Parts: sequence; structure tokens; C-alpha cells
Amino acid sequence: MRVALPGIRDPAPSLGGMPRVTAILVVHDGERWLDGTLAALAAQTRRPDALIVVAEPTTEFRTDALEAAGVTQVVTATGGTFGVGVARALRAVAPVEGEEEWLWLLRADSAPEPEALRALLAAVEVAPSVAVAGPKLVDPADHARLRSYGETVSALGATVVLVDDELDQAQYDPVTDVLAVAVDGSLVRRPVWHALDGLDPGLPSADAGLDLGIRARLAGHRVVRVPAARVERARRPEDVGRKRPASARLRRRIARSAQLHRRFVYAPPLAVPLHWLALLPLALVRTVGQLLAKRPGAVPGELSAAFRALFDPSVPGARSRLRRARTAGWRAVAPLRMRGAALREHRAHERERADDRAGRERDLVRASFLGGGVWVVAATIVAGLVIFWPLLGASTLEGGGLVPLASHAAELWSRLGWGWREIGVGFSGAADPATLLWALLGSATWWDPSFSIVLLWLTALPFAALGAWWAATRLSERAWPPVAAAILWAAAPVFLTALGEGRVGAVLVHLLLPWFVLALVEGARSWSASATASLLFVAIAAAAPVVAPVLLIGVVAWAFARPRGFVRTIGVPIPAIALFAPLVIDAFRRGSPLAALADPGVVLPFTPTSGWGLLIGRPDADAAGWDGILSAVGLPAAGWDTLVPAVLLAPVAALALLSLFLPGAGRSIPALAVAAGGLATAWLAVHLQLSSVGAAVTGPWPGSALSVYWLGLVGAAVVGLDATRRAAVSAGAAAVVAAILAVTPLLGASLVGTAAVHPGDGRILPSLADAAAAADPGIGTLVLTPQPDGSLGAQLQRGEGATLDDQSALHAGRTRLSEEELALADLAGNLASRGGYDPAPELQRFQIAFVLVTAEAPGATAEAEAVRERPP
Amino acid sequence: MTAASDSGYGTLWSFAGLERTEDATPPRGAYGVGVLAVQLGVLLAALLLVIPTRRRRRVVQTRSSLDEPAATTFDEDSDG
Repeated sequence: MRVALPGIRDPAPSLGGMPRVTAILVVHDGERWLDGTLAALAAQTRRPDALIVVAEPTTEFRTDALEAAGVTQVVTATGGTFGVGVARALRAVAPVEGEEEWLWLLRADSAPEPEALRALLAAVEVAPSVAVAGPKLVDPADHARLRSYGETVSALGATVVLVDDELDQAQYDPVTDVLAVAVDGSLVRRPVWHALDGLDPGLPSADAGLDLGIRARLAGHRVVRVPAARVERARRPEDVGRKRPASARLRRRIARSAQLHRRFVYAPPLAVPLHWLALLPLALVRTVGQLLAKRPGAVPGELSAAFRALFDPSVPGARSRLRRARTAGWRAVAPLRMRGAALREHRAHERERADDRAGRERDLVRASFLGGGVWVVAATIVAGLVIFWPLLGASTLEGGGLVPLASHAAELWSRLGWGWREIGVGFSGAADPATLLWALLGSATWWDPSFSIVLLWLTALPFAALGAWWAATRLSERAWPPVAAAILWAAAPVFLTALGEGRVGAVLVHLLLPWFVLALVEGARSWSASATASLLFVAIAAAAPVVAPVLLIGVVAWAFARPRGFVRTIGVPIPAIALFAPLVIDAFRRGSPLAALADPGVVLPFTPTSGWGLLIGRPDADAAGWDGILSAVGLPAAGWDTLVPAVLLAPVAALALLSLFLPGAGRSIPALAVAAGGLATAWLAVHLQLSSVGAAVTGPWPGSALSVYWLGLVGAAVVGLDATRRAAVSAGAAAVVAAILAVTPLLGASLVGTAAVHPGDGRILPSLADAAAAADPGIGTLVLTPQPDGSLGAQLQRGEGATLDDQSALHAGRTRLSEEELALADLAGNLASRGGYDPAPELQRFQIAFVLVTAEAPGATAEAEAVRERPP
Repeated sequence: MTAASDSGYGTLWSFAGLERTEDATPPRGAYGVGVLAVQLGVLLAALLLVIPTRRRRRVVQTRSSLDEPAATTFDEDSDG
């Protein structure tokens, strides 16, 4: 709608042969820049012959500003893009009268320097083939800073902005011919504008000028940039119509959408279907690229741009527009594309500037590995070999919670996800997330997956020391505190207990925790680190689901403590959620929702320890303790077996508590909060009853949570040691020596044979059944185990037996038996009690080839014993 | 059934009359395949993020702590 406002003048009459310029100023939510731009237009040394302002009906004008600028018309309309605004303005002017009519396209924030139009006209007057001339778009606050000055495309059609936010040192002035220029501030020959049918409605912001330039070039015209003309650009085209500037992610998505649109418009007709079919596969490939480039935020934009392009209704019109005006082939623009070494150099330059803008140049602290780390790792290698001397040469470990892994790595990987679980009578359900760990572990020694457990045990101490040392270097740059941390971590009571009892999940938790903390701390600033933290979170939660809640709380707390890295940190649990979701859903469906918190692997009941026991890091009352040593020196075990290690571990606790009152308390308080979280989790774990095996019901082993507790204690102790300065060596040495003495029984457990873990023969079943199962993996062996309470446990082992990867928390945590299991229980009961019972039909039904009655346990019933004695 | 062996594992009885029928392990099914695909997809995405693909910049400094986060085992990057 044309409106009459005071201050509007009539357009200048046409002068034959002289260029006539119609300036079109599209306000489009840029009111705050309008007065400045009008003033800049008023100051032009060569005024436009007509000035049309396209504005919203609500736009308020200052009459004197309109008058000074020489506004000839004001067109009001609601909404629309820049191109639509220009089209509205052109509907309000007289038809084209000659070749020398020009349109000067301006946004509200495009305030030109006084010489801008004169310079633009000077450039086009001497070159009749020029249809589009672009000025230097400069920073409003600093005209020496270039915002945009020419655009082109790569060989594959990607947009290449020739200049973006650079200091103007006239370095680009010599080259004026370009493929395209930004549309704002550009001077366009009006007849060409009409021939090209203006801007492409499918490119509302990004690439609008690029597309116009390409079409002008294909229509046989030239596009030039004019170094003497400067026009301000206060905002990017993508920011127009937005309350806040578009984020980098949004700009990337808009740019990708524009590129895909142009691809469909420029492609030969026969190639369009191929491009369409390749859209989604290409989006997936590019998604991988975005992830590798550490831009996960760009992934949704990448996919949504592809989906938009699939159903882009503006493509046919744009192709028609291009076809109508085109007079030259694509070879005409080939020299103006950027490719090869020039493109690589340009992109490298862009990356460098992006790095500089992000301010990545941060100082790095990394204590020298030779300054203590290498020695402590070497010492723990020796210690590990000595402590586990009986395990050297073993190809498999067994005892406690250890059973062999499947014979082939491929079998380990087949357990992942959701499917048939070959344990007991079998069932379909979600796999324990730990199956991923077993698969990774077993694949490390793919020729004999169970051997990986042996290697894990033999290298556990040095790996634990290395992780703790590395993590501690973030708390102290001095040599001694990280060394103390490494020794204290490797000699943690709970770690040595887990190694002795064959609790592979707890061992993995202890090994991974320091790395997780390290990655999480750095994850606030790095996608690579946060992704590492997320994978370590998965591994730790899979190895000991009971610690997942406390780790989750820690992650959330850290995310809020580092708001700048919130997005990176808060996403850390996502992979774990993906891995646990099917199990949790399945557990709910089966009526045992807490089963997902059960320890993975073989169900290994334990005798709960007291609160004092937990406080000194003792996870259960079965752990090899001071009983033997105390009895040797004539002291009663009761009480003393807690008191002695408590006294020996007191220096560590004292250092940790002392750190609260020393410099660095800002680090020790979070560390002690972690310790408190771990201790609370251990206490809760002791009170959970989640899994059953035979007559025993048990919960998650509290040892994994105690590793979290120990982590916090050692972290705080390191802060304390760091702060004590001169006394650090003596205090640290005393704490370390005392802590090692506290775990003396555990260190010697394997050597003296009190540890449950020992070299195995790789079999779960007797050799006869094992050999038969090797030939026919489908046969079953019914294992009858007399229980201490007089009952009889019955377990169906398929093939070579239930390996570590066969175990299932859903199976162990089930609260009711299936009909098949009840039938199996009947079979076991009848075998144990009924004379003359014919088990053949049931054995046939379950495909049982063997019945194994395990060695008599204390308290076995006469019925169970009868099974051993009586031929079934 | 006949006694087959007596070992540390216990007493093993053999059922010689077993007629083997074909094992029919239920297939993973569409749900199982979907679960596996999502899980592997998420893990793959995390793994791709972990792989270092940017230039490292190492600068030695004299002080680091959790209060003054400066350590960079990993490359720092902008929020993409």
C-alpha cells in the first residue's frame, strides 16, 4: 500500500542516457537503524533519483528524516522477505524505460558512506556488461572491518564467502570480478533484475545474493565488487526478523538448506532425481562428518535441512526462473568458482580465525610423567606381578564371580541389545549393558576371549595407578601428591577385595573412575572430552549400575557449576540412558523394576558389613581381613579386624578432612561431597535385595560405590597434601605406608591362597559334558546344587554352560518363575525325592543330556544327598 | 540315566536316551533390531565425537586446578 507522508518528494525526471537510480530501502524490523540510514542517504554525494521505503504499517517515521533523505514513496505491507519487499516497491514505480536504470537495494541497517552510490555508479558506467555491483559491507562500529565482500561457490556448489569479518587492508581491491555479491547494498541494473525475476523466494536470507549473481552471470552479465563503495552491515541477513542474532547452529542449518535448494535448482533435469534419492544418505554421511568435526549441535540442522529439501515447493519455480533467463552454460562461471588449493587454503584460514575467535589458546598443565608417574606405574607393574604370581601363565581365571567368557568374540557381540537370553530355560529380553563390556574385553584377545580377564587382573594395579596419577595431576602440579594418589588408589581396600573375589564389574569401575572424572572436568570445554566422559559413564554404569545414580547427580551438579559447558556436560549420560532404557523397561514389565540396578555377571552373595566397615572401605565381611594375622598374634578378630585397618587408614582420612581448612578447599569440598555420595550409595546398596541364586538373595555389591567414596577421599587428601607444601612428603609417605599396611592381608591373599580367584581350566561343566556341548551346543546340563538351608537349587546350563556374557540381571532378579522354570523345578525335585520316577520325558523336553549334582555343601539335605547317591 | 563321572565339579549323570530336536532360537525380531540399532547409533555418535580431528595446541603453563580449569587433555571446541 502506498502512503502519503509529509516530507515525501516527487522522483527526479528521467534524463536520457544518464543512469537513473531507484533506491529501495526495506525496513523489515530494522527501525532502530532507519534514521541513521536515512541520514546516510541524505548525505550521499550522488543522491538516488528515487527512494522508496518499504515498511511495516506500524513503522514510525520522522518527517524531517524522510525529507532530508529524499524519500519519494513509502510502501507499507506486513511481513515478507527482502525480495518480497523489493517486489512491492517495484510495483509502485513506473515501468523500465531504458538500460541505464539501476536499483540500489538497501536494508534498514545498510547505511552507506557518502561516496557509496557515486563509487558504484562510477564502476558500472565504464563497464556496460556489469549488471550487479556490490560495495564493501563494513562493520558499523569500524568501517575498516569488512563484513562481506563477494561470494562464490566451491566445485560442489557449497557457498564460499570470500571475505567475512576481516580487516580491510585493500588486499581484495585488485580483483573486482566475482561470481556474486551480497544483495544488501548492491546496485542492480533494473532491466536485468526484471529479466532474472528478482530474488529467489526459496532463498529468503542466506545465498540470496549468491543466487542472483549466478543467474546474472548465466544470463551473460558481469558481477563486480567496488572497493571505493562502503555500506554498513549491522546484522547478517539470517538475523533479520529475529529478536536475537541467529546462533551458529541455526546459521549452519539455514546455509545448508540454501545450498540444497540451489543444488536442486542448478542441477540438470536428469540429475534431480538422483540428488533427491541421495539426500538422506548424504545427510547421514554429513552427520558423521559433523560429529567428527565436534559439531553435534549441527546434526539436527543437517537432518532437518535434508527433510526440508525433500519437499521444497519452491524448486520448480526457481528452475523455471533460471531457465528463462539463462543464455550461457555453467562453463561461463567455472573460472569464478573456488576450488583446489585455493579452497583448501581459504577453509584453513577460516578455521584458524574461528579458533582465534573461540579463544582456544589456553595454558596446559601436565605434570611430567617422568616426574613420578613413570616410577609409580613401574612399581605397580612389579607389585601386580608379585601379588598375582599364581595367576601368571593362566589362560582363564575362575572362582568368586569369575566364569569364562564365550569361546568366540562373535558370540559376545551377538548378546547385545534385545533378544534371546540363553540362561536357565531361556527367555527373550534386554541384555545387561555389561554385555557391551564383555564384548569389548573379549575382543581384545579375540583368539581366546577369557584370556582378556587374566590380562585385566595382571595389569589392574598399574592401570589403576596410572589413572589416579593422571587425574591427580589436575589437582596438584607437584610431583609427590599425584604419586601418593596413585598408590592410594591402586592399594584401595575395595579394589583389592574386588580382585580377590573376582568381581570384574567392580574392578572395571575402579579402573575407569579417575578417567571419567578427568574427562568430565574437561568436558565442560571440549566435545571430545565430554563424549569420552559419556562413554566412560556407560562403561561404569554397565559394570556397576548401582553407582549410576550418584554419578548422574555428579554430572548434573558439574553441568550447573560450569554453565558455559552446560550443553556438553548435561549430555554425558545420554549413551548410558540409551543402553539402559530397554533393560529398565523390561524390568518394569516383569515386575522387578530395581533389577536394572543389580550387578552384572554371576550372582555372588556376600555377607554385609557394618557401617564402620563401609567407612574403612571394606565392602563385605567375607573379604580377606585381619582375622588370620590377629589370631596369629593372639588377638580376637571381633572388633580388632575393624579397628586395626581403621587406625592405619586414619592418616588418609585426616589429610582429606584437613584439606577443608587449607588452601584449595574449593576443590576438596566437592571431592568430599563425592565421597559422601559414594558412602551413602554403598549404605543403600547393602539394604537392597535384587538378585537370587539358589536359596540366597542378595543385592548389589557395595564395593563399587565404595570406589566412588575412596575416589573422593583420595582427591581431598591430594588437595591436602598439595596445600601442606613442605610437610607433604612426610605426611604423604606416612599415609601411603599406613594405607598399604592396612591392606596387607588383601595384598597377600592370592599368594597365600585365601583369594577366591585362581587359574581355571576354561570349563564351567565337567569335561565330558563340556566335550559333548562342544560338538552339540544345544544340549543341556541340569545342575543340581544342594543349598546350605537344606533346599536344592536347579539350574539348566545350555551348551558349555552359562558364561559371563550369558548372565542376565533380569533372570537373576525375577520375582516369579515361568511355567518352564516350574516344570524344571518339578523335574529337579522329583530327581531328588521320588524313587521309580521316570525323568526321561522331561529330560527330553528340556533337551537335557546330563545331570550334574555339585559337590555336597554344608547343610545339604538328605534328599539332596539322595540325588547324589541314587541313579536318576 | 547312568553315572558318567565324579570330579571336582560333582557327580555327572548322563541321559543316553536323549533324542535331539532342532534348536530353534527365537529371532531377535524388529524390536530387537531397532533397540540394537539405536544403541549402536548412539554409541557410534559418541565415539565419533571422541576421535580427535583437530589440531592440538600445546602451551606450557605454571598453574592448574579445578578452580582454574586450564588443563586440556582434549581439544577445546566451540558449541557447535
